[in-house]
Parts: sequence; C-alpha cells; structure tokens
Amino acid sequence: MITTQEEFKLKRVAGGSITEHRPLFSSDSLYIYIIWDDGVRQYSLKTGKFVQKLETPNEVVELLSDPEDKNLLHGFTSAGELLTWKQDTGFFENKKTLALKLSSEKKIVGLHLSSHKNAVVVVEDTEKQIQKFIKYNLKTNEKENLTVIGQVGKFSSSVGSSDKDEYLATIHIYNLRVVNLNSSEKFKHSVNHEWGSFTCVRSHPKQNLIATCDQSGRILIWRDVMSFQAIKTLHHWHKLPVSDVVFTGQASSFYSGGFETVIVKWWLDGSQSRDFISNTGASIKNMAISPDNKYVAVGMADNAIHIVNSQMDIEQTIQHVSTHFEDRPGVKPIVSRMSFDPRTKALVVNGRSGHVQFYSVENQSYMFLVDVVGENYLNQQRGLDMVNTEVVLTAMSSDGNWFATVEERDDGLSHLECRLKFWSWDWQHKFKLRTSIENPHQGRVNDIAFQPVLGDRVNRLISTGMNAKFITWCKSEEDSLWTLEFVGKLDNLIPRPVEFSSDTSLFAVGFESTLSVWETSAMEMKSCLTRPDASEQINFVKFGNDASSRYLVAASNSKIVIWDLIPLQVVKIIGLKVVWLAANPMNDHMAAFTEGGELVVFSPSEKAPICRRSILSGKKVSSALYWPHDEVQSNAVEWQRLAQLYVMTDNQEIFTFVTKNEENRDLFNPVEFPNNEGKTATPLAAFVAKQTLSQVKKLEPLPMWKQQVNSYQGSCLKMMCETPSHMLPPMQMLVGDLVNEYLTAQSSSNEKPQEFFKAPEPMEVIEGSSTDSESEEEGSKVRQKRRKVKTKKLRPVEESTLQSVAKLKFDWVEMLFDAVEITSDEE
Amino acid sequence: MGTFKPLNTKVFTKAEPELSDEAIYWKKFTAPAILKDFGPIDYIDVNPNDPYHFAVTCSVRVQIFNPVTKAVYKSLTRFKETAYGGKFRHDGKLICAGGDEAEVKLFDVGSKNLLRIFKGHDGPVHRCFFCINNSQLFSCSDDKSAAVWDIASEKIVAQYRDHTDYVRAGAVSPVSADIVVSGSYDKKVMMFDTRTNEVALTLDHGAPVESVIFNKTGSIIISAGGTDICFWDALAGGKLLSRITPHHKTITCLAMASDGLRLLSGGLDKRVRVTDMTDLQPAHVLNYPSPILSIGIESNDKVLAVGMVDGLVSVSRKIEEDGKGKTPRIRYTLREWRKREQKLREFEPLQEADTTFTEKERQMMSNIDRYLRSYRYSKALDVAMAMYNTKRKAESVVTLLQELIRRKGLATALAGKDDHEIAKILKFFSKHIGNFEYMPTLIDATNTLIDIYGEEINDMPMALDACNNLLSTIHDEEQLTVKLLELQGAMEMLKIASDSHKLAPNSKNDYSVTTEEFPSTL
Repeated sequence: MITTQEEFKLKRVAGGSITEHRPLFSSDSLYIYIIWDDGVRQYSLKTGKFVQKLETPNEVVELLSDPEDKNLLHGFTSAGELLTWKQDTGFFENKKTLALKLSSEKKIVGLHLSSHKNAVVVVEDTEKQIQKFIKYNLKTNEKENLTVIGQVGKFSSSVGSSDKDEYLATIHIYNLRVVNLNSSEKFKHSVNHEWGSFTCVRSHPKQNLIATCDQSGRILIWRDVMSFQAIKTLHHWHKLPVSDVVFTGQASSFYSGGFETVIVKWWLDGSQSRDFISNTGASIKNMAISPDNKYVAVGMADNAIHIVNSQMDIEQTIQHVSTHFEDRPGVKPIVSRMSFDPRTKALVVNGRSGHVQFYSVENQSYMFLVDVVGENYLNQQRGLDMVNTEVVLTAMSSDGNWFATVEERDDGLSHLECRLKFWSWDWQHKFKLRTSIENPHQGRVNDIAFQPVLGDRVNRLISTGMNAKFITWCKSEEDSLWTLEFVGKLDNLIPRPVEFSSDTSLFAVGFESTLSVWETSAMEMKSCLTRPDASEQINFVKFGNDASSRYLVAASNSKIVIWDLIPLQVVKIIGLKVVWLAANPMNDHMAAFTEGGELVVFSPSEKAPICRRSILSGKKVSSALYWPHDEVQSNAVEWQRLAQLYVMTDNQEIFTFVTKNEENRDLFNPVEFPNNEGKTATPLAAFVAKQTLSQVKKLEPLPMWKQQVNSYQGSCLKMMCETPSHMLPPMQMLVGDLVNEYLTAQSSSNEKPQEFFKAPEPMEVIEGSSTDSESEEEGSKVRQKRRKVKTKKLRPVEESTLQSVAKLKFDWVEMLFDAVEITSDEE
Repeated sequence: MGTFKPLNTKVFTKAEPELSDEAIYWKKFTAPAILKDFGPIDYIDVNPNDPYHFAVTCSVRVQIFNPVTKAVYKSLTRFKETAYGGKFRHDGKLICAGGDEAEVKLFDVGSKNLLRIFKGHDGPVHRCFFCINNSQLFSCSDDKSAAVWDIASEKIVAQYRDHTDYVRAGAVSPVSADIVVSGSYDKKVMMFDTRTNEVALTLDHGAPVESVIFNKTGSIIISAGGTDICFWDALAGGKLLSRITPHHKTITCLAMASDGLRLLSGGLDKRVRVTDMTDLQPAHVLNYPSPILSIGIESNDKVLAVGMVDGLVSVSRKIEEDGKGKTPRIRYTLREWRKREQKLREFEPLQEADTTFTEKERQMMSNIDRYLRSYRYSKALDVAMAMYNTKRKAESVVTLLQELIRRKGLATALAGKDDHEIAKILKFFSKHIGNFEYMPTLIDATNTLIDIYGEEINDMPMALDACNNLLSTIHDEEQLTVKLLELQGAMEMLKIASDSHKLAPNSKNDYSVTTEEFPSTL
C-alpha cells in the first residue's frame, strides 16, 4: 500500500518557550544565558544576538552562577546532574551527578545554591502536589531532607542569607516558612486569608530580606525573618497576581511584574515611589537581575526577554517565535495559518495578540513583528473577560508585494468586529497599511486567497464570508486602494475555502458541500460540482499543479474527493479525516494531515500515495505549507526535493521532515552560510523555470482510474454515479436499463482487487450513501457488503421474474405521477 | 513597546486617494485669487510673454489683468455691445476682439488705441484669432461664416459659408499660416485652406461644437462639444483618433497646457479636467465653484485663469521651484519650536562619560487618550462629547465608544451622568445611528445606556424626550430598510430572470449569480 519506504524524522525548526525558566546574566554582565529547547543559549546584551549554544545531556531546569568562582556557570538538569561551564570560553568543565535516589513520583524541578555552596534541591511530589527540599553538601555528598513543604510552582522557594546564617524560604498557600540551613531552626509566618494565597517568594541573596507576592497583587517585604516577629511592609500597586519579583544588589529597590503587562520598579527608601514600563504587550513570567545591577531581564509570556536598564528603558529584546499566549482562561488562542513571504523568505505566522510575525526559516530566527490591529493590548481584569482583537487569517501575494490580514474580535456581547486589511511592502522594509475594510462580510470571514501574480500584474483577492457570499477585491490602477469588484453567491450556501488555479484562469470556491469553479476573467461560474451523497462541508480546495493541473482536490472532514475538470467527473475518493491539506507549488504533490497525526503525501494523478506515515501523533496540526527550495535538494526526502514541507502545531511549534543525513547538520546553518541573496534566484523564479521544463513532458500511461472507468463503458450505473442528481433523466426512464444491466452483470464477475484508493462509482449506488461521516472502516465494510451482493448467485425463479420485469412497460408509473400532480393542483 | 497607542479615528473616515505626481504638480499653484466681473466670462487669453498678463472678455469690455497683483492693467472699453473672444497677438502687443456689433476690433495693448475695425460679418463675431504670419486675422461669426482678413487693408481675404449654423469655435494652425479651423453648432468642424479657398476637411463631431484647438505641433485637431472631446488627425485626412468623455455636462472650453503635454477642458460640471496627451488618460481634476466657460493658461502653466458663468475669474500662478519664486517660510508648531530651541541650548558634554542618558521624550497624546490611559473612562467620554459639540467630529466619539466597549468600560463611562448629559448622548445616538459605519457601535452603546438608565429615565425629562426621538429615528430607519429590501428583492428577481434567460440554451447549470452593491444599507 505504501510506496515510499524512505526513512525520515520529524524535526523541530522553531517554537518552544525561552521564558519557562529564569534567565541568568554572566558575571561580567555582558551576556545572558537562556534555557531553550535542548540546550543553554548565550546571547549578547549589547546586540541581542545569539552567541553560542552550550550542549546539555538532559533538560536543564535551573541556571546558576557559582558563588565562589565567578567564571563558572552551572546548569542543573532534571536528571540531577550539575553541569559546569567556563563563562569566558564556553568550554564544558565537568559533570557531577548528585546521588539523590528519588522515588518515581518525585521530579527534580530546581536547585538553589547558597553563598557557602550549600545546595538545596527542589523536588516536586507529583502525587501529593507539593514540593520537598533536600539539602545536599556538594563536597561531602551528604544529603538531608528538610522538613518543610512548598506549594507547586516555579518560584515557591528561595535561598538567602543573613550575616551569618543561610536560610531557605518557602511558601505554601498562606504560609511563609523559613528554615535555617545551618541550625535547621524553623519559623512560620502566616498572612490573612483574605489576601489570597502566595504566588512567589524571592529572598535577597545577601541581606535578611524576603519578598512575597500574593493573588491579590500585594507584595510583602519581610525583614528579620529568622525570628517569630518578622517586620513586614506592604507594597500594593498590582491589581492582578504578581508573577515574579527581584531585588537589586544593595536592596535599595526591587522590580516586580505580573499579568498587568507592566514592569514596576519600587524604591525601598520609604518613599513608595514607583517607575513603570507599561503596555509591554504581554504578561510577565519571570525576572532576573545582572550582577552589576544595571540590567533586569524580564521574561514575557509572548516568548520575549526584555533587557531593561536602570532608567526603565527597554534596551534590548531577545525574541523567539512570538507565541500567541493564552490570556483568557479556558480559551485557546487562535493560531492563524502560515503563509510564505518570498521576499524576506520568511514564514508569516501570527505572533502575540494582534501582531503578525515574520520568522526566517533559513536563519532560524525571528525577524520582525507587524502590528496589525493597532490597538493597545488589554490585559485581563478581575471579573471581566477582556477580548482582544486577533488576527485570524493572513495571506501573502505570490510576489510578496501585498499582504492581507483579517482581524476579528468577538466577545459575544457586542457586535462582532471584523476587518480586512491590505498591506503593501514598503521600501523601508515594513509593511504599510493601504486599505482597511470594516466588516466586509457582515460577519466572520472564512477564507481569503490572493490571485497568483503572473505576467499581467492583476492584484486580486477573494474573500468568503458567513453572509453566504464571496467578494473579489481589486487594487485600483492609479493608487493603492483596494475596492470591491464582484460579489458572487450560490443559492444561500456559505462559502468556505477559495483557491486559484496556478495559471489564475480559474478559481474554486467550496460552498458547504458543493464545489463551484469560476472563470476569473469573466467572473462566471463554469461548473458546479456536487456529489450525490455529499453532505459534508468542504474545508480545503486545491488545484493540482503541473501534470495534475486538470484535477481539483476537495477535502472535507472525512474524505478527499478528486475531480477531473475536463469531463467534470470524480476520479477518486480517499477516506481520510483531513485537518489540513497543502499543495506543493513545484510539482503535483499534495500533503494531507489527518486527525490521528498521519501524513499522507499523494499526487492526484497517481493511484497510490507517495508516502503515508503516522509521524505526528499527539500533535495537533494547525497548518502546513510547502517551502520551495532554491535548488533541488538531493539529500532530502524523495518527495521534499523541490520543496520542504513545514507543519505548525496549535502551540506554534514549527516542524519539518528530514532524513537521517540531513538531521546531523542543521537544515540551514546561519553561521557558515549567511543568506546569500545575490547567488540564488527567488523561489518564485525557480517555480517559473520548472513550469517551462514541464511543458515538454513525455506522455504518461493511462492512469488507473481511467482504465477502471472504461471497463464500465456504456453502463447506466456509471451515468447514475457520475451525473449530479439534478441533471439525471426521470427515474422511469432509467429503471429498465438498470435492471437489464444488473442481469448482464451476473455473467461477468469483474472483481477488482482491494485497493487503497477505491473507485467511487459502484459503492455510491448500492450503499445509497446515506451516511454522513463515513470513516475508513465503514467504507471498507460497505465494500465487503457490495462484494457479497455481487457474487450472490440468483436463483432461476428470481432471474425469470427479473426478466419479466425488464420487459414490462413502465409508462403507467409516469401516468400515475401525472394524475397525482393534477389532483394536487386542483386542490 | 511601552508606548500607548492612541485611538485610531481613521477607521471611520473616508479613504483619500493617494497623491499622484500629477496631483502634486497641480497642487503647486498658489491659492486661487477670485476676481468678480459683471457677466459670464466669455473668453480668457494669456499673454505668452512675461509678465503673462491675461485678457478677460466679459460683457462690453476686455480687461487685461496683471497675474501677480491681480489688478486691472488695461481696460479696453470701446464696445457698444457685448464683446467676445479677446485674443492676444503672439508678441502680446496687439489684441483683437469680436462682439455683438458684428465687427472685429484690433487694439494696441500699450496705448489702448483702436487700430482697425473689420466690418463685413452679418452676425455677432464670437471668436477671432491672429494667424501665424501676424498679418491676417481669422474670425468666426453667427452669420454661419468664417472669414480671413488682411490686417493692413481691413479687407476680407476669404470668407467660407459652408457651415449651416452659428460658428462659435475656431483655431488657427500653429505651423501653417494658411490653415484655419472652425467649429459650428451644425456639429461640424471644418478645416479651410486659404491657398485653395476651399474646405479641406469636414469632421462630424456629433454635437454642437463649443471649442476647437490644435495640439502644439498642429497635427491633431481637438474639438469639444456636448460631453465629448474628439481628437482628429489633421494630416491623415481627418481620421478620428480618439473620443473621450471626461465631463458629464457640456464641455465649454479647451486649452493646451504643460507645453503641449496636457489638455485642459472646462465644462458646465464645474470641473477642469486634465488629460494626459500621451495616452489620453485622465490625469487630474480641478474643482471650481461655478460652471466654467473659459480657461486661459500660459503654455508652460505659469498662469492659470478660469472664467465662470457668474462672472468669477479664478487666477493662480505656478510656484517657481528653482529658487526664483518665494521660498516658503518655515512654520513651526509650538512643539517643534520648543524642540528646536532646546536643541540649540543642548548641553554638550566635554568628555565621554561612562554612561550617557538621553532625556526621554514624552509621548504627546490627546486628552481623550490621556484619560483612557489612566482608565478614567467617564472623563474621556465627557471630553469627546465636548469636542463633538465644538468641532462636530462624530468619528472621535464613535471610536471612543468602540474602544470603551472593547475595554468593557462603557458602563463605567456612562454611569453617573445627569439628565442633561444623557440627553446629549442620546441626541448624538439618534443623529448618527443611521450611519452604516457607526451603527453597530451605537446600537451596543444604546443597549448599555438603556441597561443603566432604564429605571430612572422616567425621572429625566430631557433624556426621556431624547429617548423618544431616538425611538422614532430607529423606526424610520427600519421603514427605510424594509423599503430598500423590497426594492432589492424586485431587482434581484429581474436579474435572475434575465440570467436564466441567458442561460436557457445550456440550462444544465442550475444556479443564479447576483451582483450587488456592497455594503448594502443596514
């Protein structure tokens, strides 16, 4: 069944959070270390650029600087290994595995190092949902379980020191517990329950100071915690829970941040004065301060780390794939589909709320954000469900000159806001808003597609919407305004997918279960394709490229239907629960992703799939696209030699498929081979060149479907299958032929072998096709049933009865119908 | 980052077309000065020589104006009846003019002396021109004839009586002294050759001809009449090259501009259209307050004078770019001026400091934005309503309302208002709720307002009044919507009927396609 047996693997290209863990500044305050993916990455503070990657055997959970030797950097892994690097060279020094002997339900989540090298390992008990702490002597390897507990959370414990003693501070709901690490003396401080539970604790490394934050947004500064009468001062500005807080070196001030998207600097001189950086666009997850107190690194929910200087200016931003974080509890953020920008060679994905980001796959780096909605980000407020305007659809014209976005805000209470925006590429390397159309479809917009730009430079976009219409928008000649050109509809069916053919002469719009093909130049519907049993809404429509340009592929929830546009017939039906369908612009391949994480690469003109593998199980595909290679990649997977397939999951991680050879080296290595624009033609140029070559193709053998159809030549059955129901002749004219045919079919049993792609014709009629969502299993059951019916021998009596029925005249049926009509008319 | 994005009121404002190079060119004229005369401005001619005086023919005189001072330089008043078509000689020293007296008069510009009177026409003379050799005159008259005169002897050289109606337009060839063209109300344009004394060409314009001119090289005759402008090839036997319809009312006058690269046409639709002569595409539009009768433009666009039916003459001059003209004075806003002053006084550190900090520039924002930023929604709404009362800027109020809905702060903003304020807000709603763009926002806002004040509104007499007004407005809107929907239904039925008729031969496709205006109201 599966033809290609080439080995390939899934590889993550982009995505994943860099703000899960606190970053760490180097001791000279020139670099910052960040835990991302499978290693530790070093970035320069001056330029914000990536410097080097420090390899780690396991996932790092904590980065620490050595309290004694300033040149050492420690990383603590989830396997209990303490890794050491030299900061100035980046060389790996040694690895020390801590002998912890933990039971299986316990998980290492962090490590604290006091200034006297007392290590405290933070262990999370996954069953009891609490944190436990193990004191570990790094020199003698002695360990001691501390008898305090902490709540589950990233920042629910901290190690500090006073003049002579070192202590561990932990929080558990309403309690702050402090343990003296030298004498094991314990102190417990409680707060009023009305304030809500604690969210984080941070102690000053040198002074006897602890800051705790709670759900109500209050920050308490505790002094003299190693006594039962601790002094606490209240700092209250935040309205929402505070995520993290950090003291400056001399404890003259501290920084805090939470869900308000505001970075606050507090002064501890009793003045209660504050400095702010507001409208940062995302909530704050963690904070770290540099050893010289000049900079604070603030980890944001949108996967950025801002470097803030002491004047409260954002000096530098380290940004990875800008994630569209979940800000409304229980509402999954919308992830728009990927587009491909041929000019900047970037994947275009939506970034943080209301923004679209350009991500360079070649350099594996974030490029820039475009603010699409132009509104202030509204953070959540207590008791209110704040809804921000989000980018739901993007489309990029094939030459990269135009970019269209659809943004939407629906809070369920007020009117839906929906805007279609057209952006043009500006010479200043920014996208500039040219046209904004308010509420183009009086409701949601389902899909947008640009007409591919060929020689004639027509700029046209089609949008489909919930008002059961599709609209074509055209750019006016003299200026850059986009105006309405044509409104089309098909009864009152709601159009969803829209797609242009590669030569732009046709476009297809899927109206619920009906597929319509329109001519672009005349804006006239050429054909309306409906299968007799079609009741499923079509989600994807793709025209075949290259050798398959006569085929039109439509995918609904449970199957892919391939139409031949010349005789207007169904060629084949593939039973797949498709969640995404991508077409390769360089050849006639298409890639379908199924609900179960299966990847199926196929060509509409070929019988068998090129590749079929369950490679994405457990991941939810949100979109995929083919990225045209500049030149043929001979190392790549067979079906990826001309274009690389990229998949984005619903948590904005981008994957691709690589062979073993490719995996060893980076797909695109930015250091050795910077993106050399002058050397290679654009992907579009490669595409055009490919087309001219393909025009002198040798004749291909008659495809299988054709042979199958030919074997049914002249059959009444075939006509009933292939003709849409509204075009069939009256039933009484068909009955005679059908019975005759059925009798002749008895003599010749033309059983076909079981195939992956099944021919649609006979199945449809016999089954009666009443099932709406026929899955693959159901389909095979039906086939078995059909075979049974066919092979069943008729008894002579039955046969003679049928013969006599065939000879009968059925005119009386018609007369009867006429009579009924007349009587009903009279009524 | 870290900056507050101000409210975007552009969402509700109409898109303005982008400035093309052509538009920028035509905007580089000084603000038009308006001169007022007594009757319709029949003809304007600009002296081709510096300082480009222009002659305005109106009622019983020809006045020559200075384009810089806009003052009358000379006034030629030796007419008993209405004068027509005052035209300069190519050197600008003489001027000829026709009139209801059926004579062509020749004046010396400097001394205002009447030098010659050409008698011989039987009807009023509307247009007269100096031929290229400067020794002959060409005149077009209502006696259905056109004539060529010898200036020295005041004698008719040739008279053409081929037209069958008033001859109201004419032109002389810019390259040949023997070729003249006349346009008549008999819808014909005729080209005469004085060497043969015969009609060389007859061109059928299709409408009474109001104006005829040659292009710069004399190879194309351009005639205007009705709403059409026709381009005829003067060399290839009068072939119709093109026909354009730039105006939607009668075109009254034509003029060549930009050294023959642009054609200006004025019409009764109060517009002057600029047409690109290279591709005959519309390039620009100039709007005027009244229907236009005459255009005078210097061949390099130095002076543009447009005459209108109610006696207005609009004069503007091209601003010189190469430093000859006035350099525009730089106008600073207060903010810019302060910034500049500050820059001048800026402290320059003598040595490199370890770290230098620049002063943070404060973000300038409107009062509305300032209140929004500090979550003072009620105050923001008050400011917006006050601004609406003075400046009538509805879009800023609607944008604010939309932003408040977005921020879930509309209820806060509307609460705690007194009768008078609520009445004002309701009045605003009822005035603008019919606007298609504002409607969704205003409906949401009205709902919120009713939620808050539904109970107390009976104790608020003014607000109650305004509420009733709003109710009747909504009722009217509903009626209108129903009527429009009925109309749409009727139209769609016709459309479908015509479509199905068209598709009858291959009726296997059962579908209907409708095109409709978008967005439909309500």
